[in-house]
Amino acid sequence: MPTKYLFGLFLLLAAGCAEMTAMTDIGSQIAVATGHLNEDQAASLKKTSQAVEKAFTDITIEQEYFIGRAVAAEIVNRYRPLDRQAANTYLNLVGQALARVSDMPETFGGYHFLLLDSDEINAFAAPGGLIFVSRGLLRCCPDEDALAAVLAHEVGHVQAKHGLQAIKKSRLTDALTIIGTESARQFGGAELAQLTTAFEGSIADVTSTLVNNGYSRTYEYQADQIAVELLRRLGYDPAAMALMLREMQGRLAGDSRGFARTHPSPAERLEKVLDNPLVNQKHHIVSARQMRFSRALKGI
Amino acid sequence: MGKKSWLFLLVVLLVQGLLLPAMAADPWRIVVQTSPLRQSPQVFGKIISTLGYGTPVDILAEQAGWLQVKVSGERGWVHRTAVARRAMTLNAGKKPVDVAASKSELSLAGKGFNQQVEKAYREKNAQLDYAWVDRMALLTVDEEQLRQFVVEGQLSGGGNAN
Repeated sequence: MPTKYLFGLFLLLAAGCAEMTAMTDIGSQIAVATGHLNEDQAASLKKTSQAVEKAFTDITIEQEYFIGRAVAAEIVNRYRPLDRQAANTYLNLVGQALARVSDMPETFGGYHFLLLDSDEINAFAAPGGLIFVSRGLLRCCPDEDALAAVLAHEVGHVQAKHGLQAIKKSRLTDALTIIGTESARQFGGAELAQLTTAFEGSIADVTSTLVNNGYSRTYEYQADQIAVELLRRLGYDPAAMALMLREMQGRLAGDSRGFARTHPSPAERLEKVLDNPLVNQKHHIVSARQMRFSRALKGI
Repeated sequence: MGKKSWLFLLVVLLVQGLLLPAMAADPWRIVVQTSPLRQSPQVFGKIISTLGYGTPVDILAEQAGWLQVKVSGERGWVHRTAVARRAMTLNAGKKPVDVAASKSELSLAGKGFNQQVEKAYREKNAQLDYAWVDRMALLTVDEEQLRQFVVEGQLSGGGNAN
């Protein structure tokens, strides 16, 4: 049988298996012991199988939690939180209801929403569901459905793990080569230092994307698509998405801070989102929502 | 590398494939802090009980993003995002047990970034204030409050297509 077919068969077996790395590892250990592979070949075999696994998808839900916390710490060290109970409770009612109907309703620590005391028009979604909205952005919302559109967009970023995808692969290769499968095992000094450095780098990658560069257009449009779907599932008016983008279009003209710097223009997003017939219609306001919206956000 | 070596590796893998079923796979567990066990696969389905991190579950069926599970003699539904395969042991020399332990006894199973790493990170970056991150985690709304909010706002929490 030609070598290439054997090789192909081997890859098929390896690829079909979730425990690919472990199997390759055991296999190559046996092969080395019996003299069929030398150490270098065994090492490179293992490296290849690890590289094939996409880095960000290896981040477990628990790790996402710690990454998210650290990114959130970066946000609250740049922007002062707004400690208004009624407003924050209301934000969490809308936001957590939206998270419930998303494709990722459960994260390790759950979704939590917090207002920031800033006139900048801005929102940030840390991995794992810690979501921030500035009062500047809140003031752009004419009603609850529009606020829901904003929060749904942020939930969309969390659901699609856009924040985690900002982490450079090299950080994760460092982190993931340090085996810590035994939860009772504490990391030794050198391992811990290496992991902490990888962690720091990961946090810097995510924060830089959220605060400075913004996501790619693709990710922003993706979050908009998810937002429309979440609005629909929960029973909000998807047309509020267009309402919100038009509102932002008006307010961001000439502004180089916040949203304007980190997002594609509202006009571009509007064009994309209006393709959906659910969005491209007259917005209906529900008075029950209007009253509680006004009451909760009075003075914001 | 010669043909013989590849053939040997192939045989090794095939043998492992036969042996794998004998090697027990890690059990499915709850991998979020707490997850509600619901009577039906619905966003606001009646909550039977609350499952803690690490609780092993037996998966019976799957439906549109929800898993029907058997756990501690009860049957119910959890969302699939709350569940994953995990090997877990208790801390500090305690016997591995297959029951849910309190969060302080279980450490987060961990490749890479975990509680120990966060601690080291915070020690290294003392200027970081996690106070609001911890406060934020307390910004929750309970099930009944949320249910009422949905109803009063003429929203629909019942159906979902995930």
